[in-house]
Amino acid sequence: MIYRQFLVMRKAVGIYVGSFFALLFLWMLYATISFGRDGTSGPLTELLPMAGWLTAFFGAAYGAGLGSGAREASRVLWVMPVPRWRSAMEIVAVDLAGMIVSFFGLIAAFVASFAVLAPFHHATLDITWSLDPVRTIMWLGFAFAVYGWSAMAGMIVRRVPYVGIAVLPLFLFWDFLADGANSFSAFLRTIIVANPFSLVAYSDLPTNSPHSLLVQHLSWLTPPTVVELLAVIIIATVGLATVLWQRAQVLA
Amino acid sequence: MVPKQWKERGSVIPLQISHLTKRYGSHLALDDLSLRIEKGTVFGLLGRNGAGKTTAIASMLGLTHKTSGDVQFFGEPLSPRVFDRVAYVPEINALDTWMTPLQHMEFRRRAFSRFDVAFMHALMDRFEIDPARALRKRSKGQRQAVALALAFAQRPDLMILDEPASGLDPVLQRRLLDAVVSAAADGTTIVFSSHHIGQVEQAAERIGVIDKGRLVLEADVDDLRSRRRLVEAYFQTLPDLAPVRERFTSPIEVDGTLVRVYANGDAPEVEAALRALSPVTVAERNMNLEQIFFSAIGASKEYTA
Repeated sequence: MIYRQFLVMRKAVGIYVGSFFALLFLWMLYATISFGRDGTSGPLTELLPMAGWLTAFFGAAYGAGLGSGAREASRVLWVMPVPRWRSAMEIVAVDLAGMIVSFFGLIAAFVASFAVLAPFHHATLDITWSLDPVRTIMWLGFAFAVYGWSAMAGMIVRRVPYVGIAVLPLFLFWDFLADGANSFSAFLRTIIVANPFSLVAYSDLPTNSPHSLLVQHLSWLTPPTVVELLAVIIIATVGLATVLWQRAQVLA
Repeated sequence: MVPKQWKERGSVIPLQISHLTKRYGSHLALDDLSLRIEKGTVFGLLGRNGAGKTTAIASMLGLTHKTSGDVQFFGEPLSPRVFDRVAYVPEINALDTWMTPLQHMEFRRRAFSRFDVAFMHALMDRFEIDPARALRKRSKGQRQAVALALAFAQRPDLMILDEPASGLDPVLQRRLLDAVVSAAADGTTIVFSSHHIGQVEQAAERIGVIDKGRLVLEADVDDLRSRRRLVEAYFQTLPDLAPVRERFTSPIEVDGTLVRVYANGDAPEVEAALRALSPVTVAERNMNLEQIFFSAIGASKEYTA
């Protein structure tokens, strides 16, 4: 199982990070030629949200191999001498490893684009190379949590191909609705800790940002608490997706 | 070359199905199917499209939840361990088309303890498969050939093939049948479903006919051919057939003034009964598998007209 998923993920990571690098490079080339640039500086940590969001999108789009991604292949995968729970775990393990490569690959692509272009435009590159470990884990956890939700949605609605990708806009919509003042919003606000987008978005807000209802509701969150909550979301969603994979039937 | 451990395995029944039933809501897709497939048998499961063949296979392999019944592989219930001895080729080609045959081979080699790489290469030659070309660039028939080669190379004790010749050209169909016969000669038990009677007739020693979810016939092909006879009587004007219908349960087909009775071991009595109705001619003929199939599902006229 690991071998097939490795082939899937290797190809997906290559295409994703490669495409990102190509697009970013072209955009930066255009930007430096058009507007000029005399230097770029800052800590690498500032790239974490970008890498987290793009990896979350990657996880939702490509990584949900448990659900709709294995619609036809299940006829092959489920007649192998491997318990289904183990095959699910192997797929998840390879997907998460691929997402880690993607996460750091995107940061590397960003830095590489600067590094390649800077000398041609007499710009300087001054980067603080350290990454905040808690925030790194938090943004990776965000991507994993989106993946978990995506895998679970994919297993529940297997008839719809790649339905897992819909979880990201749904998280944004949920966050938007929860910020309202009516009673329906109050309920959504109460369970908002299951929304990975809300967890990382509010933990990363500047302290002087305007206090909406949702910000007040999540004011107790600290980055370590967010990491713990994301871990719970990952375990719960991946666990449920695995149970559904174990019980699933092939689609007619 | 047959692995030694194959021959040393006991004579446990490879596949035993007892009262297998599958219901989709109110629709009874499979109704109380019981089968016992002996070691080394080539068993052909015949039936029209939608008769329940694929449902039967999916239910026995745990790909769909059975409503009731029991399935035993080699004397034990279905478990992941069993799949090391069972090769399954689904009706729908489920192989990932972005992979090459070589990648599929490597995937199976890692999963199945007895996967025979050398045999796989030989099969790829026999089925004219380009090992390094992604399946999406191949025809449906060539993809099916890859699926079959992978199944044979598993060196299974039991093969379950759902419409295996689907999409294969006549040359590859012939090679598939040769491979089936050769594997059976080496002791592999093969169950294959088909609605192409000719293929079943060429390869199967024993057949089961499924119609509307029910097993309506199960027998050795040779026994069927020797027992089942077609009695044809041509009349000037069609007589009242009530005496024949009352006396025999055999299916009767009427085509104008030609009456055909699909007799089952009672052909002389049927012939005598028809003679009593003063026909112009009466003749008794051997039945081929197609006629046996039609008589089993009771739809002969619909198909032979």
